Parts: sequence; structure tokens; C-alpha cells
Amino acid sequence: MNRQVFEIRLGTAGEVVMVGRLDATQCEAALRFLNGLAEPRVVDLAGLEYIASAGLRVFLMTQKRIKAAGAGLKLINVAPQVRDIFRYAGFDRIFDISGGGA
Amino acid sequence: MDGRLLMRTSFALVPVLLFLAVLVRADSYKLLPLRTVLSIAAAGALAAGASYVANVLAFTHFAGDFAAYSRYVSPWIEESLKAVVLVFLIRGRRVGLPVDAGIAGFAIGTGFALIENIYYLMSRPDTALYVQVIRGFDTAIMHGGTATVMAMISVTLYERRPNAGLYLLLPGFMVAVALHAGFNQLLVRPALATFATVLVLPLVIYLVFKHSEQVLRDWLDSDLDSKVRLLESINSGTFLDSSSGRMLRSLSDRFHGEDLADMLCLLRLHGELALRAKGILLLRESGMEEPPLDEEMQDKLAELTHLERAIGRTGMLALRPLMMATGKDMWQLKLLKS
Repeated sequence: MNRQVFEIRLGTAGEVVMVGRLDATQCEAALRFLNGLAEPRVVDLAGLEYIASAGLRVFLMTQKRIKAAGAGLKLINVAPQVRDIFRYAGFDRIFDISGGGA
Repeated sequence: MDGRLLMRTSFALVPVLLFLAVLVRADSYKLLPLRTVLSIAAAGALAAGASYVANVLAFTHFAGDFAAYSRYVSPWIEESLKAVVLVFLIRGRRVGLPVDAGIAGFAIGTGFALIENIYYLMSRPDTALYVQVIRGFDTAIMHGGTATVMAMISVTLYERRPNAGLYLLLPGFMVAVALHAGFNQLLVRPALATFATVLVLPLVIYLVFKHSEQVLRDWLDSDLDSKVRLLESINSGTFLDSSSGRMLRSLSDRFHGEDLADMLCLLRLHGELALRAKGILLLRESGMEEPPLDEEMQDKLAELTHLERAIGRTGMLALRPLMMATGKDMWQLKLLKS
């Protein structure tokens, strides 16, 4: 599989799976997919290699939407380089984030 | 203030206050809280008071009539005093982007116009209501508009050269004086003056404001990504082999090894803090609540100050090309300190 191409789909346990690079060119498709789900809770980022600011916006907008219903996003299997970006931006206090293997 | 005066002042100022509210509301990043906007408007009102005194003094020494004075002298005095407020805001890095500078500029002008209109209404109580309202509204938009233009031009210039002297205010100041003098020139043709100030100026300001917001968003995106790459290269140990790293190493003939180590630490810390500031902007843009600054960030801000002192002025100057220290870069850290 070409890991550079961004892909978003539902996993076997109903979690959202993201693979590749989530940058400005992909964020619209990602947001459309997430908005199509009533209440996405768990996002598996094991295959996410890179996230740009536009990608962070996608997570923030989704978090805001589902927070209105009292829920929150849980980001699992986050690779260290992506986790660092969330941490630097201070978003580790906005999202429930766990690293690879969690 | 009696009821009649209050009513006339309100008629003249409410639309301007509404426009100011529109600008504050249109600012997706919530760069200037309402309390700050009101404080800036109060400073604009003080500038108007000082301007009254300066104009009275200057007019006594002016050989021509009042019409000539208002065209050729008063714009210089009034825009200078508005510029004083702007200097305080820009040099103190209280505003750093065209967006917040635009709001601040309009707030200065609104405060200035409030005092000028009250004076005008009190000194000419018998003028017809519609004349006072139109005159007051025109003046308020003009003062807001000229200060906005001056603020946005100045901040744009300081963005490229954040440590430049006060001379960078001159282009914006000159444009503001020209607009102000042009407005006073048009007072003999009130219909044209009203059209220019009420219809054209707010539209131009709003369009420039929205464009500036897009520029800010683009900067946010590109700078966040470049800071992430910088931190990745420092953390992975590949930074010193990059072009920026080679530039840092080239300073070894002028600085001690421990200074260079401090510089590398500063680059990393500055990158981390800049990313946190951008995180705050992204949260505001999304309309989400910001969590309070944690202890770790406060420690990092203190460490940044310590490193800047240790590296010294010369070292900081040498580092500037590596830190991409534009006005926005320096301004954004204020988000963390406020």
C-alpha cells in the first residue's frame, strides 16, 4: 500500500482508521467522512504518518461537534511524530491520546 | 450631558460602534478581547482631548482662516496623536497582525470621534439634527478609517522588520493624513464626503480585514508545518546537517561552544512555544475553549527569557535569520504570556 496517500475508513470495531498524510489537500474529505458519522468516538492513527495544521482543524471541529453531545474523541495508536505535534500544540489536553499498542 | 445631546451623540455614534462590533465579531481568532478594545477606544478619546488643546494652541499661531487650518494643519496634529496610541500598541507588541491592528485602529478612531462629536454638538447646539447626525457619523467613520489604514499599513511594514525604528510608521501616517485632509477638503461638498466615508471606507476596511484574516490563516498553516519540521530535525539529531544547522555551526568562530548550545536550546524552545501559540489560535478559530496555560509552558517561557539573556543581544541578532523572527513570530508569544 502507498503510505503517502491519505485514506479514512471504518475499522472492524467501528473505529475510524486514518492512514497516510493528513494535510490541507485531504482535510475536506476527512471532515466530510467524520461529519457523516453520528458520533465518532475512537480514531486509530497507527497508520497516520503526518498531520498538518489543516488536519488538526479536522480533529478540533469534530471534537467540538461531538462534545456538544457530551462525548469526546479518543485517538489511539498515535505514532510518536504525530503525537508530538498534538503535544506541541497543547492538544494533548483537548483529546484523549494514547500511543502505539494502547 | 442633557437628554437631547445624548440622543444626538447616540445617533451619530451608534453606527460606528456597530461597525467596530462587526470587526471584533469578525475576528475569528479573538485577538483583541472586548475589554482591550474599549481601553484602546478610551486612549483614542484621550488623544482627542490632547488634540483639542494642541489645535487651539496651533490655531492661534495660524495666519489663515479655519477652513484652511482644518485642511492643512489639523490633520497632521490629529493623526499624530492617534499615532502615539498606535506606537504604544505596536512597540509593546500588543498588536502584531493587520487583523488586530485594524480593530485597534478603528477603536482609536471611534474613541477620538466620540470626544470630537460631543464637542461639536455642545459648541453648535442649534444646528439641525440631521446635519449633526450626518456630520457626526461621517467624522466618526473618517477617524476610524484613517486610524485603521495607518495601523494596518504600519503593522504590515513592522511585520517584515519588527525591530525597525519609528520611521516605519511614516508611510501609514502619511496616508492617514492625506485621507483626513481629503475628507476635510470634501466638507464643502457634504454629499460626496458622506458617500466616500459612509459607503466606500467601511467596505474597503472590511474587505482588507477579511483578506488579512486569510493571510493569517495561511501563515498559521505554513509556519506550523515549518516549526514541526524544525523540531523534528532537532529531536532526531539531523538539524546540524541541514542548511539552518550549518548556519548555526558557522557562528562557532564568533561564539563559544556553550553559547551555541544555548542557541540550539533556544531554537527548540522557541519552536515549541510558537507551536503552542498556534494551537491557541487554532482553538479560537474553531470556537473551542482554551485550557489554562500549564506549569510546563510557564517554565518554558521563563526558560526562554533566561536563554535570551544568556545569549545576549549580539547572539540574538545572529540567530534572527534562523528563528525567522518576523513581527508575527515575536507577537505570537504574547498569546502565551497574556
